Amino acid sequence: MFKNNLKYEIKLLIRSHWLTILLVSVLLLFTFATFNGQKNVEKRLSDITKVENELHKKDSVMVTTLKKIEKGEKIDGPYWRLPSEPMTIGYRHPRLAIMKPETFSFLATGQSDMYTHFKSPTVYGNNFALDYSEMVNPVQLLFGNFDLAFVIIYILPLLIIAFTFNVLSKEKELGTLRLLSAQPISTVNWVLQKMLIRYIVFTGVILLILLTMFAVFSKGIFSDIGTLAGLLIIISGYILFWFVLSCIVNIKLNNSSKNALALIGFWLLIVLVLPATINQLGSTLYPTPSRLKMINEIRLIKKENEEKQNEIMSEYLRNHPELAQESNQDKFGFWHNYFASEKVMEEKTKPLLAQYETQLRKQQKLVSVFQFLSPAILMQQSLNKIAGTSENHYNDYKKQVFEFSNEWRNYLVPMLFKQQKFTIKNYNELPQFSYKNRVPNKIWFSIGVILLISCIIFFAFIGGSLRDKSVQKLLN
Amino acid sequence: MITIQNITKKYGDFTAVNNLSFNVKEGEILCLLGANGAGKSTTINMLLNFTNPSSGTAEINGLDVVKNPIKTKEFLTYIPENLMLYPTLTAIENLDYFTKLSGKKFDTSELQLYLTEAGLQEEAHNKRVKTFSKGMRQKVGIALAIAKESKVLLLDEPTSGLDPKSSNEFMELLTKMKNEGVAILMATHDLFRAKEVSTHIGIMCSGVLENHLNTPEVSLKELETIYLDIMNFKNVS
Repeated sequence: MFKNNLKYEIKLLIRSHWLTILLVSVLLLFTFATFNGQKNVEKRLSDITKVENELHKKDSVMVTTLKKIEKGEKIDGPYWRLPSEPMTIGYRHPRLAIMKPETFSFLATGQSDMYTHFKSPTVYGNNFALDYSEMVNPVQLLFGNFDLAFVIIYILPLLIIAFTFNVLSKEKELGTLRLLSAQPISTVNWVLQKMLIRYIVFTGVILLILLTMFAVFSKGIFSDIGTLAGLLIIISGYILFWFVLSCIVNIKLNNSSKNALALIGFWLLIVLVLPATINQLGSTLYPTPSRLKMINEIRLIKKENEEKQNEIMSEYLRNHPELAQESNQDKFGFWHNYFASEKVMEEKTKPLLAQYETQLRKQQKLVSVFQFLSPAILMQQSLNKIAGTSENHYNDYKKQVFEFSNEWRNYLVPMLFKQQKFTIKNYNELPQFSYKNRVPNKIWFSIGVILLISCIIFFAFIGGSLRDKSVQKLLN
Repeated sequence: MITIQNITKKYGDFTAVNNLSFNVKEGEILCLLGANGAGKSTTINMLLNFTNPSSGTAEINGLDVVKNPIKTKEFLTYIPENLMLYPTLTAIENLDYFTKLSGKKFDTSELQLYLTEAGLQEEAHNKRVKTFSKGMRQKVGIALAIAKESKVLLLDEPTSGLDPKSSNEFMELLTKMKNEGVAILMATHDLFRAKEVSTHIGIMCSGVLENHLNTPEVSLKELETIYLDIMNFKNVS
C-alpha cells in the first residue's frame, strides 16, 4: 500500500500545485533568511577587522616610540602617556578580546545583536562587567532577527499546518473517504501513511533547499559534517513534531475548519504563549535588582574607599608583601592607590553583582527547564548553541574576558609596584586573548528530547486508534 | 454471500433498523425499496462496518463484518449514490489506485479493458475525473468491482440523478454482473428499475422489512400497489 500511496500522493501534490507553492515559498524564505544571517556575520566580521586594524595602527606607533625610548631619544609629551610606563600600556594599549563568529553563526542571530564581540579590558576597573550584566529578558534573548532560525521555528510550522490540516477531512468533504473506507485497508494506517509521505516530501524539500543555501552562502559548514548532520536531524525532528501534532488533530477532529483553528491555536501556544509565560514566570519568581541602584551603590563604595585610602593601601601591602618589599612607597601615586582599593571594591561589590548574576541565572535556568514544554524554545536554544550565539556562549565569553583581564593585570601591576619600565621585549610577551568555544551544543540530546516528545504525544493520543480497525470514528 | 440476521440499529431512542433478516445469494439482486429514513442506507453502512449493529449479525461471504471489517471488504465493492473519485487523477489512475489498495495489480491495458467493460468510452480513460459526469464516475466504480472480481456489490441509490440512458446502461451492467454470479444489494427509490433488474425486492419502512418478494412473481403494477399500501398504512398508523 505504501508504494501505491507514495506514487499517487506525490502525483496529487504536483497536480494541486502544492509542491510548486512549497518549493517557491521555502526557497524565497530560506534565501532571504540565509542572506540576512550572512549579512549579520559579515557586519560582525567587518566590525572586528576595523578594531583590529585600529589596534595594529596604535601598536605600530607605540612600538616605534618604545624603540626610540630604548635608543635614548627624547620623546615629547607627559610621562604618563609614554609607552614605557606599564600603566600607559595597561590603560591606553589594551589587547583585544575578540569573539569571532562560528561557522554556523549565520544560522541564528541569537544574542549576537545584543552583545558585543570585542572587548578591550584595561587595567582600569572592571567596568565592562556591567555591560554584560545588562538586565535582559531571557526569553527575548532567545528570539532574534529574520534569520534561518526564525524561519525554521516560526514559519515552517505554519507551512506544515497549511500542508497538512485537511489531509483526512478533505477526503471526507470530497467524498472519497467512503470509497476508501470500503477498501480492505485500515483507514487509520492509510491516513498515517499519507502523513508520513507528506512528511518525507516536506522534509526532503526543506533539507534540499537548506543544503543548497549552505552551498551557495556558506560552504565552510560542510567541513563540520557532525554538526551539519545534527542540524539537519534536529530540523527533521522539529518538523516531525508538527506533523505528529497535525496527525493527531486530523484523526481526532476530522473537520477542516476545526483542524485549522486547533493547529493555529497550538502554534500560538507553543511558539508565543508558552515562551512569554515562562519569561513572565521567570521575572516574577526571580526578579533582578535594579541596575541603577547597583551603580549608585558601587559609586558610594568608591567614595568611601577614597576617604580611607591610606588605610586601604597599608592593608593591600600587608597582603602583598612581595610588592611591598620592592616598592618605593614615597613614589606611590594614583595607580598604586587604585589597585589597592580595587581589591576592596571587588570584595564589597561582589555580593551585589553575585545577587544580580544569581537572579539572572535562575531566570535562565527556569527557561531551560521549561524548554521541554515548548519544542520551539528547545529548538531556538539548540540553533543558538550550534550558531555559537546562545546566552551560554556570551556568558562564557564574558568569563574568558574576565580571565584575560586578570592575566593582563597580573602581568602589568607587578611592574608598576616594582617600578619597572615597559620594553619591546615586554610587548612581545604581552598576554593575548584567544576565544575558545567551550559550550557543548548538546545537539544529540535536544534531538532525543524532540523525538521523545513527538513519540509520547503520538502514542498518547493516537496509539489507541492504531489498534482500532473500524472506520466509524473517521467517517462520523 | 450476504447474510443479515435479526439485525437492529439504534441511535439512542431512535431505531433505524429493527430486527432485519435477509440473504442475498450468488447471482441474486436484492433491491431494498423504501422512503427516506426507512433504514436502507443504514443496512448497507452496517455491512460496510461504517456503523456497528446494536444487535444481530451481518456476514459477507460467511465472515462477520464486525469481527473481520478488513477481510470482508476484500469481497465487496461499494458504490454510493454519488461516487467520488480523485478529481485530478484520470479514470485509469483512479482505478489503478483503488485496485492496488485492494491488493490487486494490473497493467494499463488491463485497466483499460475493465473500464471499457464497464462501459466507459475509450477517450475518457485518460481524462481527469473532474470533467466526468455522475454516470461516468459510476462506471469507474463498476470497473473497480469487475477488476476486484468482487463477489458482493453494495449499491446505495446508484441511479438517482442519472439520465435515463445512463441509468439503463447501469442496469445492463448490473444484470451482466448478476449473471456472472455477483450478489448485489441495492438500495433504491426506483420501483421501475427495481422490478427490471432485481431477483428479490424488500420493502422497508421505519427500519422494518415489511415485505420480501420474489420479483418474477409480481408485476410492476402489483409492486407499486404493495409499496404504496405499506407506505400509506404506516403513515396512517
